[in-house]
Amino acid sequence: MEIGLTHYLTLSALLFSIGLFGLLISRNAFRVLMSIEIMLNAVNINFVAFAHYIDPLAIKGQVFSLFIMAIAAAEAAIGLALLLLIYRNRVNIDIDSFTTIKW
Amino acid sequence: MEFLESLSSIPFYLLAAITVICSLGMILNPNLVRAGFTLIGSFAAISGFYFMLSANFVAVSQVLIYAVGIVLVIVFAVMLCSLKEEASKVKDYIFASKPKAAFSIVISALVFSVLSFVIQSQDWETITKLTGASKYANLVDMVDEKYTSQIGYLMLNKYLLPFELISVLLLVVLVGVIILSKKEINK
Repeated sequence: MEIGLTHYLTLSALLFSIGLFGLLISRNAFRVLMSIEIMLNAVNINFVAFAHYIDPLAIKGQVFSLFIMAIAAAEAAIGLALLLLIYRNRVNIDIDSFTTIKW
Repeated sequence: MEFLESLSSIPFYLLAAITVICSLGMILNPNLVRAGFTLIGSFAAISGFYFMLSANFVAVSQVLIYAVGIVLVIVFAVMLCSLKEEASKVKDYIFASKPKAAFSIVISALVFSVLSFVIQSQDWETITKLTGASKYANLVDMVDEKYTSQIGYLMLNKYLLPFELISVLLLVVLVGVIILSKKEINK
């Protein structure tokens, strides 16, 4: 069977679900950040696959995936800075213990 | 001939296996630093998909930004936190709370089944024909090498505003991270 758009979309859905699984199950905040990166990558695969199979001349999907990469880098930098700040104040990065602003 | 056709799908399944196994390994590995390095395998395999989809520039940026940049930053942050005792405390985090594990498995399985149902219910071959991608199938080979220059052209013409916004965002992030992570001076 030839590899088509369906294969890439299914793979992307699988990766997204794996990222969601990691996001829900992890108690370590670093692992939550890594799971978010996996989910962003799943979305990127979708964009590039659509650009290749549906829009091969204007390649909007490729340009958009580059923008997503920049946003992901910004998100990782801010998230890690916040985590280091929390670690410096509390010496703990268990996500279940971040309850200071819980109402 | 059919054998040759089935041979062409081997790289896809190989890369898919590497991606899925490395992603699952990242989630299940109790050692955080090793989990971060497992992520490199996943990102590298994804850049292989981009090469297969003839998106060369995106593939190289994937390696540069994700596989090297983001993973390295995350691993350095993990090392800065020196979570030796912490790691052993949350070592069996998957089995730490069984309802939570069951909940996450059910939710992610539900999301995957809904997504794959939606994907299967569309007739992608017809859509691909309607949008004319197959019409340009012979043209794509010609365009293939020009994708990189085309991306550069699009970034500085059609997508100039989002491009500039991204650069402003990166500047803001740079300043914000420095402000956040600098030590407070006691007065």
